[in-house]
Amino acid sequence: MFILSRDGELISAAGRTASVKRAMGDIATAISSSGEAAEALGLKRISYLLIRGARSNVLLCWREHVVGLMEVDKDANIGLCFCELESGVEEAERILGSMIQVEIDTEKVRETLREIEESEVYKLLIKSQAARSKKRKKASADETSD
Amino acid sequence: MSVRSAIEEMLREVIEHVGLLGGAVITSDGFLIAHVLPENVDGREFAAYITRLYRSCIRIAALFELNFFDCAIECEEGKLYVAPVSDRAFFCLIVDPYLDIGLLLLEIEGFARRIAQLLE
Repeated sequence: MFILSRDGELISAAGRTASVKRAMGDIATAISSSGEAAEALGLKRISYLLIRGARSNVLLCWREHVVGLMEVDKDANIGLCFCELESGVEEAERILGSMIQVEIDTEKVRETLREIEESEVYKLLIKSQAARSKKRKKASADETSD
Repeated sequence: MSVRSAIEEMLREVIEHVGLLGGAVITSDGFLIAHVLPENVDGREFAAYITRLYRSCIRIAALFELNFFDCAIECEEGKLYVAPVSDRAFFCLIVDPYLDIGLLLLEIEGFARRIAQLLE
């Protein structure tokens, strides 16, 4: 089973990693065109995309940030495989989704820093730090001359 | 009868016999040959999307050495089943969500072969 981010990063891999990496562009195209084709027909939520071959099958399912891919044996039960893949994708989506939501508002951080720098307390703190540093330097110079 | 009309008639037959919601036969480069789609669906737009999906599935199958057979999208309200007719064309069927794909495969056996013969 593979879990990929929608922008092409391999999050977790068990299987033929090289094939998945090479297929990333086509996976993205398959996902977007599945959505467009389904939407054109008025079909809404896609559960999965199954690519069947003579040798084995590839099962794909995705959420907003995450794609899950599973290479499935020809005789495997697709319903069961989908349940497993979907639960992996849901979990990865929950983790990645919550990570993406914690975005740092850089403008707000800058504004807060400006406010701190302009405050009287901050100015006093800087002054006292400078005085302490001067005192330390003087003491060190006196020790050297002794 | 033109090839287009003959294929459309075959599509109608399969749709009625199996109980499908619609279908289309499309060339591998995205041209719509024949279709029986719901009235509100833009056939050419649908053909363009489904061709992109079909081609990417073929490439994914090649990378995984699957020996591509067909592909299907499962949605809550229905399924889309896509399979090749020949090297130059493929068909897409819109399937009722309660219809089993295995049964569908049995029913449409020979359908692709007849279309391929018409397109030759």
